Amino acid sequence: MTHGGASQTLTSMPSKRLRGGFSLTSKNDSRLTPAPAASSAGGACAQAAFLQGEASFDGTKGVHHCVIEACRAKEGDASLNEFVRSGTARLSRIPPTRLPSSAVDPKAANSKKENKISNLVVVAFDEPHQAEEVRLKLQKLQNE
Amino acid sequence: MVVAVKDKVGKAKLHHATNLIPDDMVFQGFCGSLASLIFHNATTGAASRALADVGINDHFMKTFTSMLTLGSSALFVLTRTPTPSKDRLLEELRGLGGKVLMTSLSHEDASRLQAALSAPKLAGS
Repeated sequence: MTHGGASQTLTSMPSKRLRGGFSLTSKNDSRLTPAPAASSAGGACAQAAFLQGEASFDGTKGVHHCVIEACRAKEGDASLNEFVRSGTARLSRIPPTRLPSSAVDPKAANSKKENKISNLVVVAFDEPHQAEEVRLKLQKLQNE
Repeated sequence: MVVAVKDKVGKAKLHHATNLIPDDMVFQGFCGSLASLIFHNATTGAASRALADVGINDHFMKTFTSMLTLGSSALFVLTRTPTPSKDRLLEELRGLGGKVLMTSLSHEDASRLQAALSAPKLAGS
């Protein structure tokens, strides 16, 4: 099912955020490329990058390396697991010392969070039903 | 997203949104600001918690609403940044009225939002 003693599939991981770090190594495989933006990284690493990981390509060895800092349960997980099971990709735990700075440095992690900071907007209306109307309108936009 | 209403006798009531929208259906950004609402767990409670996390709890919202004039309402929205759909959002909000009383948006975004709300409605819309 998996390669190596430390390897494991994504389904066995915590659903929201991985503890520590995991490295994913794969040979280039076009079947794994999920999104054009991530295709340069190729293969399973592209898939992992798509899942908010970080990916790189080692041209000399012809393999992709990536560190998955966070992984959310999405459609992509299933296909990634498939490659881990088939042996095309290998997912293994890596020590914290080899994690990217953002995974171990609180400041770097905070700066990532700040990019996702939320904004508060309070809007007042003259009529009691207007706020609800606007809320419904926004909800409709969300659904679209 | 919470709707607060101050009725004709001056009583403030809060109505928490109850829609169940998964995260990946939410727009990103300032549209985020309004359409990309933060539904951490896509539940009403999550929306309230998200607001409470930034210091906007029910007590604050009721106190805030009590300062409004009788028969008025307010909408508390927590949003994400940035957004790809600002223009679409502003277009949808155009002419709906309302005044931005408090926001952590940039001055530019806040001005654009206020301008859209205050703009006359387009004919046929």
